[in-house]
Order: sequence, then C-alpha cells, then structure tokens
Amino acid sequence: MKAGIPRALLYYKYAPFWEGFLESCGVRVVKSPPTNKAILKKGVEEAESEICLPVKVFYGHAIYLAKKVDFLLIPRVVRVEKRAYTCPKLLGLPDMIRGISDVKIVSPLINLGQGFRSYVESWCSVADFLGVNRNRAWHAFKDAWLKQKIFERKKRRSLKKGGLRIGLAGHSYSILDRYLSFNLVERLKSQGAEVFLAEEVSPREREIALKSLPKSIFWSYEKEIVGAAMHWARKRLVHGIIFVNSFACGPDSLMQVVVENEVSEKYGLPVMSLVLDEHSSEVGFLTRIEAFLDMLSWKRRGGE
Amino acid sequence: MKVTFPHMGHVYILLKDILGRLDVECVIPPPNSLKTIKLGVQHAPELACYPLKVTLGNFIEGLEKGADTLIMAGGVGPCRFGYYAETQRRILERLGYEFKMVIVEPPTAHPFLFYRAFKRIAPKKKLRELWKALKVSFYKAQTMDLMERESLKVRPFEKRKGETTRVLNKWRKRLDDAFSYEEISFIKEEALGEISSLKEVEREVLKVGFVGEFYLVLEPFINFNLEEVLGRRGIYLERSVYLTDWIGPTSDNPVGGWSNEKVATAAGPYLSHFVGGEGRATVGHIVIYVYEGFDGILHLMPFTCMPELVARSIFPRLQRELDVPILSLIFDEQTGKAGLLTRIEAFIDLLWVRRKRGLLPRKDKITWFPGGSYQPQLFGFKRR
Repeated sequence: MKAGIPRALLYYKYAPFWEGFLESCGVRVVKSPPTNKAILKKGVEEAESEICLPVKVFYGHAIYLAKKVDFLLIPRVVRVEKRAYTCPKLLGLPDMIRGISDVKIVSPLINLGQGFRSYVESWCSVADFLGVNRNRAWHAFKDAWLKQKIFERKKRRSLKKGGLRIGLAGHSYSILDRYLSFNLVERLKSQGAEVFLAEEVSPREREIALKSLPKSIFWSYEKEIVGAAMHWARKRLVHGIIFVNSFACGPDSLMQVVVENEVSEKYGLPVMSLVLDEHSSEVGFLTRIEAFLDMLSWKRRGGE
Repeated sequence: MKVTFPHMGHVYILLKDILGRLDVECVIPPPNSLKTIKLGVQHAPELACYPLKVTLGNFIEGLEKGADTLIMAGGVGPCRFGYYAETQRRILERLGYEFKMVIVEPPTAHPFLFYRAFKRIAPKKKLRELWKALKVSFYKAQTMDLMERESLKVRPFEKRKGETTRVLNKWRKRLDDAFSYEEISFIKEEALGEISSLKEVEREVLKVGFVGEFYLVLEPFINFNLEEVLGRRGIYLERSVYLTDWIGPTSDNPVGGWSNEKVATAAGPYLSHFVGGEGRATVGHIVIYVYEGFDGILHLMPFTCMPELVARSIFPRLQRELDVPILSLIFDEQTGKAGLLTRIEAFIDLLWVRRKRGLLPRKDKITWFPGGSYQPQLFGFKRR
C-alpha cells in the first residue's frame, strides 16, 4: 500500500511522526516534491480564491499526489494543547480536500484537549484500517513519537551573541517552504545575518513571555510565533524581527497588531511585516529585506 | 461611567435593556453608516475581517459621543471573533483614546472572567439581579427575533409594498420602549398577529435559504438590507441564524427551529467537524434547506472569514452532489450595492428557469438522519 503525505502545512511540524508511524505499519510513504511553480499553479486553480496561500499550496500538493497513491494522510489537527485550537482551516482541511475530487483520505482526529489517550486511539484506528494489530501499532506509535520528540528537540538552540541577529516570526510552513518564502532563511544568512525561527524557542520560555498578555491567544501556532517574538524582545536577543504573514491568513492579521504593540512599541525593536502571496515578486521582496537589514546595521552602529 | 457597544442588527435593543436594568448609563453609537465603515477601515489591519473593521468604527463613534467604557463579547476560538476585543483595544489605545474595555467572556467557558466583567460594568449589583435582568431582556430579544422570522414569511405576500417593514419597525419601536415581562408578552402576541395578517396575496414564490456568517446576516446596513430587497421581489426567505439562538443557553435554537445537533448531523457527510463560527452550521443548513425543498441558497460572508471559507470550499461538492444552486457573496468595504443586486437578480432569474423546467435540488441524494452522530474517519472508503 502506498500512502501520500502532502509536503505542505503541518508536514513541516509533524513529518517525522507521520512518516515514522506509517512506515512502521508497513506502508510505503510517498511525499510530494518541494513546492514548485506547477504545484502552486494547480493549487491556486483548485482552491477557493480567498483562502490563504499555504492552504492553496496544500491543495496543489494533494492533487499532485492523489492519483499516485492509495490514500492521502491528512490528519485533522484540532488541538495540540489544552485551551488552544490550531486554525479553522486546519480543522476543516480533510473535508475541504475531499470536496475537490474523489481522493481517498485517512484522517485521524488529533485532539489533545481530550487527553493523550484519545490521541493514541485515533492513531490506532489508522493502524486498524491498515490491518496492523494493536501491539505492532503501539510500537509504531512509540517509535514515531520518539522520532518526533528528537526532531523537536534538535530544533531548539540557544542564541549566540555577536553578529546581526534576526528573528523570523512566521509559520514554519511558510518560512521553511523555500518556494513560497523565496528562500528567505538562506538569503538572510548570505547577507551575513544570523536567523532564528519561532519554533527554536522552547515552550517554557514562550509561555513565560506570553504570560504578560491580558487575553491569552487561542491558536497554538500563533502562540508560538507571538511568544517567540515577545521572548526575543524581552531578553533583547535579536536586533530586528521579520513578521512573515501569508495573504489572507486569518489569525496572523490580528497577531500583527499584537506583535507591533508588544514588541515594537514596548521595546522599540524594529519589526517588518512581509506578506507572502502567489503574486509577490522576488525582486520587490529582496529590496525590502535588504533595506531592513541596512536599517538594522545602521541602527547597530549607533544611528538613531 | 458611560458604556457603549457595537451594532449588530437589533443587538442594541438587548444591550440597552440589560444595561438599563442594571442602572448603567449607556451611549448607543450612531447607526452604521459609510462614515463608520470608513473610520474602521482606516485604523484596522488590512486583512482583518470586515466585522472587526465595522465594529471598530462603532467604537470610535461611540467614544466620540462621550463613552468611556466599551463592551465587547469575547470567545475561546477558533474563530477570530474571540480576539476582536483585544485587538480593538490595542488599536484604540494606539489612537490615543482613553477608555476601559470590558470583555464579556462566555459564562460557560470562563465563569470567573464573566463575573469579573459583570462586576466591572455594574459594581453594586448582585448576580441575582443580573439573572433577573437577563431573563426579561433575553425574552425581549427573542420576541424581536420571532417578529423578524414572521416578517420574512409574509413579506413576499404583502399587498402594499413595504407594508411589512413599516409594521415591523413600528413594533420594534414599541418593543424597545417596553419594560415589564407582561408588556413584552402582550406586544409579542399583538405584533405576531398583525404581521401574519399582512399575508394577503396569493402568488407563486421562490424559496431561498439565507445562510452565512452571523454579522453579515444580522446587520441590515452591511448586507444592503437584502432580506427586504429579496422579500419585495417575491422571494420567500428562511434564515439560518438568529441572535437569541446564538447567545442563548440551550442548543435547541427555538427561533431558527433546528437544534445544533441536528444541524451538525446534517452537515456530517460534508463537514464532519466543527470549524468555529458558523462554518458547520452553514453547511448543515444548506443540506436542511435542500431537504425541505428550497430552490436555492444565498450565502453571505465577510472577506477572509476563516470558518465560512472552509464552508465555501465545500460548496463545489454540495453543488455537484445535491445539484443545489448556491450564490455565495463576499462582502468587504469595497462591495457596491448595484453590482450585488445585478448578481442577485441573475440568480433569481436562474432559479425561476430551473423551477419552470422542474429542476429542484436533489433531496433524494441526502443520506442523513441515519441516527446517531456521523463520525467519518476514512473518507472515500467503505465503512466497516
């Protein structure tokens, strides 16, 4: 049996778990290639025109894989922690993909708000469907869980002093997708800047930083972004923050106000917000990044 | 302390009533106008949804009228609405207004925060007094909802154009001034009687389901008073959302008539998980309207609304499988009335043609109400 995992959205966060689990269950995993022009075009054609860019890209990947595999794995990720959801679009993602054509989808319900047990159960039900017995399923789950934890632990790194440090506050699925973000991370590095991603901040530091918010945020991945930005600003770890927003991203449109308010106005840290969409041109994008970097190094040299 | 709140349909009747009963002075912001929209759009983030922008405009106008306390509903997600208050507070503070923002969280999710909000609005009142006030005010709002529902039913059959709206406005005014429970129930009897007596003409009408995002369906200025415009053209409308169903404590939706569970079951085969806001209710109501033999569906949503976009992404499948015509309209500050009406007229013509040819939505394709909640795990496979 061949399973397909679209290389978009939460793939960038949970890939080791998903792949590990399916492979331990004896399924061949096929991944779509990194986003390219054809995939993006297909996604933009098929998806609802007003929906956010990452979801359009996801459509493209799903369509690319649909004919090549026996089923697509699209988990319905509802809550990854208590008291916070992911995003309405992620909640409805399997249903949305099902709307386009007759793709076959396996969609375990990930709701950690209901406790860890239901989480294990929903993966076990996938194993049931694959015809794997419970014992083997449990081992597959454990191995995959371990892989995921190692993957997450590897990402954490503390900040080194010296050099121009830039925090990239944005969803990993838009920043790590090189086609969408025009290779933002490498470009910044080649300009001599040290780049830090939101997911590199440990959950504990993030939670401490978020405590000062009067109303807690109820989207997990936005908590990650805003928490990281606030942590960097509070500890003065970076010289500037680039807030990467994709067009029509719902939660980010409000978080932009929070970040500007909490980071830029409170601590005087420069924040630039970049909006990615399918029409953005690389040149304009580069000019803005260069201008921002110039401004930061000028400020570092003591300019006011 | 002068309290102000945003507009949304007749929500001002409810809030004015509650605040009056709690002896809190309130300033009703001027009704929504182009100025409100302009003010909101100017200061809100570009990609925020339309209701945030308009309610921000309401707040600015209310503050300019002398209010110093703002009331806004909160929420626990995943719809953006739950974070409106916080965002608007930050924007207004940046603009230099001095005010207190009271976020009223839903009492079921955050009982303590709800209590604290209540104490900040009315420090001297007890919870029991709030309960008493809420009961009467809620009854008042529900009466208003019932009157609106009745008016939707009779408007296509009225003898003189605009009669229903005139009668409705008359009773709305009287209801606004009513105080005691007895008075309200008297008005309820009289008003419902008078409105239903307006049904005088017999004519063939189209039946259209009116679904969509809450704010847009409820707020007549923002949706260009579509209910009335369509009613006058001989369209029998049925609305999916009502104010008191939404804020009410029970899930059986006495005004709308379809309980949350039933709507969820109906939506099940198409959207099997709730997605916040009205997303699942929209899909569920479309299936229900098809089942009830409606001719078409009119769907309203604000630009970038997340739950409605999920619902809208499922429309192609609904249209393919149930053969139901859906006109989905996206509203933002750029929407113009003329272009909108042209599209609606074309849609109505299409529905008439379909009816003449005997093409109705395929209600025989609906595979729902098999009992129990539908929880699909594996899509496209046979369930074992």
